[in-house]
Amino acid sequence: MGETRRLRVDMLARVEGEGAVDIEIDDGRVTCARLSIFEPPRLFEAFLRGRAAEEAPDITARICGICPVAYQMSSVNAIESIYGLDPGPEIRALRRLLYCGEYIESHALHMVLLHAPDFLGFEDGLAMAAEHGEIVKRALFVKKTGNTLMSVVAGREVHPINVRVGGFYRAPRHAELAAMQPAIARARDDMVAILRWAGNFTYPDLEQDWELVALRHPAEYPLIDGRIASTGGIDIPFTAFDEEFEEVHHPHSTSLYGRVKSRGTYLTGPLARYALNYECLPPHIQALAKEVGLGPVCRNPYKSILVRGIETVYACEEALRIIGAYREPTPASVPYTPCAGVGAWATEAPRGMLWHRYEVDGEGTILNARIVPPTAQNQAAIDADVLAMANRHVKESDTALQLACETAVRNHDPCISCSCHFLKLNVTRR
Amino acid sequence: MTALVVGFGNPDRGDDAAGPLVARLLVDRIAARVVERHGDALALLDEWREAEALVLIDAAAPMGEPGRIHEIDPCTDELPRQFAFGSTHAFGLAEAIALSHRLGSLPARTKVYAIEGENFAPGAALSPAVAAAVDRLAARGGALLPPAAEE
Repeated sequence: MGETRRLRVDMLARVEGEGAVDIEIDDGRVTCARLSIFEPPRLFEAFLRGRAAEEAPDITARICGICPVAYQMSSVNAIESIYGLDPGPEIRALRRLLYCGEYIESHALHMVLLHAPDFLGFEDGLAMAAEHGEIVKRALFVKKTGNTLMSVVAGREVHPINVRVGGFYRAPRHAELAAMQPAIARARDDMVAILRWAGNFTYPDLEQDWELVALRHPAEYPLIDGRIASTGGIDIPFTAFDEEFEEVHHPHSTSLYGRVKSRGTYLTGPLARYALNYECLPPHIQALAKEVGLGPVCRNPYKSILVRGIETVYACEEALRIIGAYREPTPASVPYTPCAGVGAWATEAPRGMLWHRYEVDGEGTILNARIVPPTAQNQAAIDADVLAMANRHVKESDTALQLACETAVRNHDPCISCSCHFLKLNVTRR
Repeated sequence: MTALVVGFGNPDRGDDAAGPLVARLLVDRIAARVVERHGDALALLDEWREAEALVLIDAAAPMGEPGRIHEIDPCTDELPRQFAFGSTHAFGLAEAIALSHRLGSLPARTKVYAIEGENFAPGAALSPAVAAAVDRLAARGGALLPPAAEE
C-alpha cells in the first residue's frame, strides 16, 4: 500500500512574488516537483506599445523594486542602440556605478536576511538577529550604503528617476560621490566579514551541470555590456539572442520557461557570471573566493550566497574605483534624433541576465517590446533543483521536505514579480 | 534629550499619506527632529539609533473603523507582522521595529501611532475620517512623546 499524504503550505517566505511549489509523491517516489508561478501576467510589454521610447527606462523600472536599475540599463541601452547613440565613457562609468549600488543593496539583503537563515536553522532573519546581531547590523549597513549610492546617482533608491536616453537628467557632483567613499569602503570590509562568516556554513553537496549563461566582457566583470556567452560555447551579440534561446509556455506557470534551443535548461545569475568572468576579478578577490571555499567555477546553487558576497565586495571596490576616477559628464546627456529600427540589449541584473528588445518607428514610438527576465530563464533549473532536493528528502517529514524545497528555490533569489507573487508549497503523497 | 518623530508612508497613496501629514503639522509643535520617510523601512534603523525617544506615525490597514488611532508601545506590544520577512519588497515598519528590538537598537521610549486607513489608491485624496484623525493626532503635539521613566 503506497503512502498517501497531502501537505499544503500557503506561503514560502523570503522570496519575491507569488507562486507555489508543487510536489507529488506516489508510493514514496517523487513524480513531480516544480515551481508554479500563478501571478497574473503584468503586461508591461503591452504597456510599452505606443509609448515614446524615451519612457521605456522609467516604465520598465517599475517592474521591480529591488532591481529597477537593471531594467533601466537594459532598456536605455537597447533604445540607444537603435539610435546609434554612444553617450561616452563618463556616462557609461556613471551607469556602471549606479549598477554597483543595486548589486550592493540587493545582494546584502538576500545573503543575510533571506538566505543565511536556511543554513543556520532559523525561521527568518529576525529570528537570526538575536544570535547573529553583529552580522545583521553589518548587512544592514551594506544595504543602506548601496541604497544611498543609488539615491546619490539616480535620485532615489527605489525606482530611480535620473536615467534617460542619452545619459542622465543630472550628473552628480564630484563632492557628492566623494562623500560616499568612506561608507563604501566600510561596506566592503563589512561584506568581507559577512563572507568569512558564510564561509563556515555547511553546504549540501548538490552540483548541477547546467549550461551557464552570462554576459562576458573582455576587460571587466560584466554589468552593462559585453556579449552573451555560455559554458556551452555560445558567444553572440545581444541581437542574436533569438537564434540561440527560446521561451516556452507550460500550463502550470504564468511565467515562460527559457531554454537554449538546441540543449534545453540553462542557468543565469551569480554562478554563471562568476564562472564565465572569474578571470576579470582582481587577484585579491580571487584569493578571497579561494579562502571561503570557491574555485574558479561553482556549480553548487547553495554556494551562490558566497558568490553573491564576492560580487558585493567587487561592486564596492568597483564603485570606489569609478568614484576615484570620476569626471562629471558635461552635458549630462547627449542629444539624439529618433529613428526607426530594432534594438536589443542585455545587462546583468543581480539575479541574472536581463534581455530587452524594442522596435520603434521613425518618431520614436515603441511598436513592440520584449523583456526576458532572469527568473523566467532560470525556472527550469529551479524546478530541477527542487526535484533533486525532493528526491533526497522524500522519506523525511513534511516539514523537512518543505524546508529543503523552499531552500532550493531561495538559492536562486527568484523575483517572481519580475517574471510575470506568494509562493505556496503543495505536497501530495499518494 | 534627542527625540525623533517619523511620519512614515507614501504621500501619493491616499490614506498612506497620514504619517507624513501628521509629521508636517508637528514640525512647530514638538521638541523633536521631525522627518517624513517612505519606502524601505530598514533604513530607519540607522536613523533612530541615537534617539532617546521615538515617535512613529504610520497608516494602518483597514479594520472597519477608518480614522481610529491605535497607540502601540512596541517594547511591550507585538506589532502585526502579517507578511514579516515574507517578501524582499515589503520590509515595512513592523519588521524594522521588530528587527531593531532584537538588535537592541530600538529606543526604550518608543511609541507607534497607527491611523486606520480606508483608501490607499494611487493619487487619491485623504479619506475624511483619516483627515480628521491627522488633525486630532497632530493637535496633541509634545504629548505624543513617550514619557521618560520615573526616577
